[in-house]
Amino acid sequence: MRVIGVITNDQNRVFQRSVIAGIRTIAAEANCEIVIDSRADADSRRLQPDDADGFLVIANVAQREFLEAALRQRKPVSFISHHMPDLPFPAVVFNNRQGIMELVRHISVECRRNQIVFVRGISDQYDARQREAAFKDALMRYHVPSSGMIAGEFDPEKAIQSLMNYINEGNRFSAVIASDYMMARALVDVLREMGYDVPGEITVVGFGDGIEAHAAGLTTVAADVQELGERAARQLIHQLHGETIVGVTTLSVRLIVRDTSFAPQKTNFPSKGVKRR
Amino acid sequence: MKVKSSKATRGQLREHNRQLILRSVYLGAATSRAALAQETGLTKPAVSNLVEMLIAEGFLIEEGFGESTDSGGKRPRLLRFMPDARQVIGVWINQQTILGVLTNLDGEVIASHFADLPAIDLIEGDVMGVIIGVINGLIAQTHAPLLCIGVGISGVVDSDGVILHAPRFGWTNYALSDPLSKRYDVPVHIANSSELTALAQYTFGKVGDISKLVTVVISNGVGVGAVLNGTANHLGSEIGHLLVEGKTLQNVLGWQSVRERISENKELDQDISYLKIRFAAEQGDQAALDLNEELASHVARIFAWVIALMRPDHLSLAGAISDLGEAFLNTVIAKTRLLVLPELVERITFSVDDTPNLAAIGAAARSIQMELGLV
Repeated sequence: MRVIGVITNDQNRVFQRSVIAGIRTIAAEANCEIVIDSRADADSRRLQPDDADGFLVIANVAQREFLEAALRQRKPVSFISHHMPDLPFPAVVFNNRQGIMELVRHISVECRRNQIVFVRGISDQYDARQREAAFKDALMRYHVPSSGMIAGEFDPEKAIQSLMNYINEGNRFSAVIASDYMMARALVDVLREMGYDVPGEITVVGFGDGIEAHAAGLTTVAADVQELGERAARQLIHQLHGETIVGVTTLSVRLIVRDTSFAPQKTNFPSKGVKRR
Repeated sequence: MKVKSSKATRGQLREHNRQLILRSVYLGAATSRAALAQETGLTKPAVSNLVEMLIAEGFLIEEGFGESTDSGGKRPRLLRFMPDARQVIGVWINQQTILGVLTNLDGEVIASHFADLPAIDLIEGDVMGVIIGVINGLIAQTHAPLLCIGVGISGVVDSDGVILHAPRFGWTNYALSDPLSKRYDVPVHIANSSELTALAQYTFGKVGDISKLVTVVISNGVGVGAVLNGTANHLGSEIGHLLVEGKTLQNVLGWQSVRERISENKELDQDISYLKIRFAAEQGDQAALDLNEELASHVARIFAWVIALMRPDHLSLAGAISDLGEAFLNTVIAKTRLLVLPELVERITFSVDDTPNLAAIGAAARSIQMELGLV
C-alpha cells in the first residue's frame, strides 16, 4: 500500500480539515494510506522524505530543505493553495482572481456599493497574495473609486479588531470583502452587534464556502475546499503512477448570493449553461 | 478534368448517421426516435439502432415521455444528451505559457491547468515536456472517459493540423498530433489559436446569433480567426510578421514590445499591465492616452483590412489587449471609419472579449466538432 504524507500547519482548522477530508476520500479509493504532519500538534511526527511515497503540502508550511530533499529522492510532491515556480512540483489552487473579480463586480455593479474595505489574509501565503493582487486589479476594472485594506491573517478575531480600529479611525465604507469566509462571517456578526444593517447599510462577502457560510447566510464565491483536497490527491496519485505533471491546476469558483448582499435584479453570473448552436 | 471521388464506406456512413442523430438531440431539433426519423430522413429501425448505440455509449439517456401524436398512440420516450458522457482537453500553446482546460461536451470548464515556458530559447524537448506535463495535469482530474485533445498554437497551421511555422518552438512542418495521439491513445486536433478563439466565441454564444464572425487576437502575437457562414472554417493565422511602415505588427502591438516601449517612458508605472494603462487613461494620464491612441491606430488598420476583405457581420477584439476595454474599442472603431467605406462599417457589430482561456476552450470545441459532429 502506498503512503501519502500530508504536511500542514494545523489539521484541526476549518480549511485544513476539509482539505484533508478530500484527500482521505481519494486516497481510500486509490488504496493509499495517509500520514499527517500537523505542525501545531506537539505530538505530530515530523515527516521526512523517506516516510512516504509522495507528499501533499498545504500552503507554505514545508521547509525548503525538505522540498529539495524530496526532489533529490524523486519523491513526488503536490502543493495545495501554494506554488513555488522555481521547484518542479505541481500545485492545485483556487482561481483566486476569478473569485475576487466576481465579488467586486457583484458589490460594485449589482449592489452599487463603491466604498469597499478588503480584509487581507496572511501576507506570505499564495492565496492571500493572489486575492489581494486581484482586488487591486478589480478596483480598476470596475471603476471603484474608494477602498481600504486591513489586516486579517485568516483569523476572525484579528479581522474583527482590525475592522473596529478602521471604524474608530473615522473611515467610512459600504462593503467588506474578506479573504476568507470565516473572517467574513465574524465581521457580519460584529457589524450587526454594533447596530449596522447588513446588507441594508453594509454588504459583506467572503472568499470560499462551507456550512458555516451557509448557516450565516453569507454571500461568497464557492470554492469547495474538500474538492481542492480531492483534486490535489488525484494529482499526486497520478504522479505516483509515474506520470510527470508540471504547472498549476486551477479550480473555478462561482458566486453564491445569500443574505449579506442584495440579490441582483438581473443575473449576470458566469453562465454554466451554454447556448448550443 | 474528372474529379476522383470514392464511395463512402459502410462504416463512414454509419458514423455520419450516428453524428446526425447525436447532433439533432444535442441541438434540441428532435428528442424522440420518431422525431429523429422525421428530422434526419433515416428509417425508424436505423434510428433505433443508432439511438441504442448512443445510449450504450452514455451519450444519450431516455428521460420522460413526450406528447402523443394527433392520431393517438403510445407517448414517445424522450431522449436527452449527456454532456458529461465524455471529457475533452483543450490546450493553448503560446509564447510564454501552455494553458489547458478540461471540459465536458458542452464546453463547461471543469478544471484548468497552466505551466510557464522558460524564457530562454527552447528546444523541442523542453516544449514537449511542458505540454505533456500540462496534459497529464488535466488527465489527473478526469472523471469520465477522455474523448480527444485539441491544441491551439500561435503559429501557422495547415488544414491537416501540420504546424508549418512556429519559430518560438523551432517547429517547421511538424505534425504535433502524432506523438500526442500515440502517447494518449486519443485523437488529437491541431489548429491556429486565433482560429480557435473565434470558434470558442461563436460556439458558446458569446457573440450572439451571427453567421460571419472575425476575431482579431492580440496578446504577445497578432492573429486573426474567423467563423464563416455559420460553420467553423480553417481560416486563421498569425499576422504578426506582416510589415507596417517598416515594423512588424508584432513589434508594434505585441505585449512584450509594448512593455519595452513603456519602460523607456519613465512617466508610466514599470509594473504595467493593460488594465493599468486603461485605468491611467481613464484618469486622464497623458502618456496612457497617447499609448492608447497609438495602439488604436494600428488595430484600426487591421480592422480595416478585415472589413474590406472579409465583410464580417461581427468583429471582435480578444487577447490580452482586451483589457483596454470598451473605450479603447470605441477609439479603434472611430479610426477604422476613416480607413474604410463607412457603409461597410455601419453593417458590422463590434465587441471586445476579455474571457480568459478562449483559445484553449476553442481547442476543446473544435475537437468535439471533429469527433462527434457537434458544435
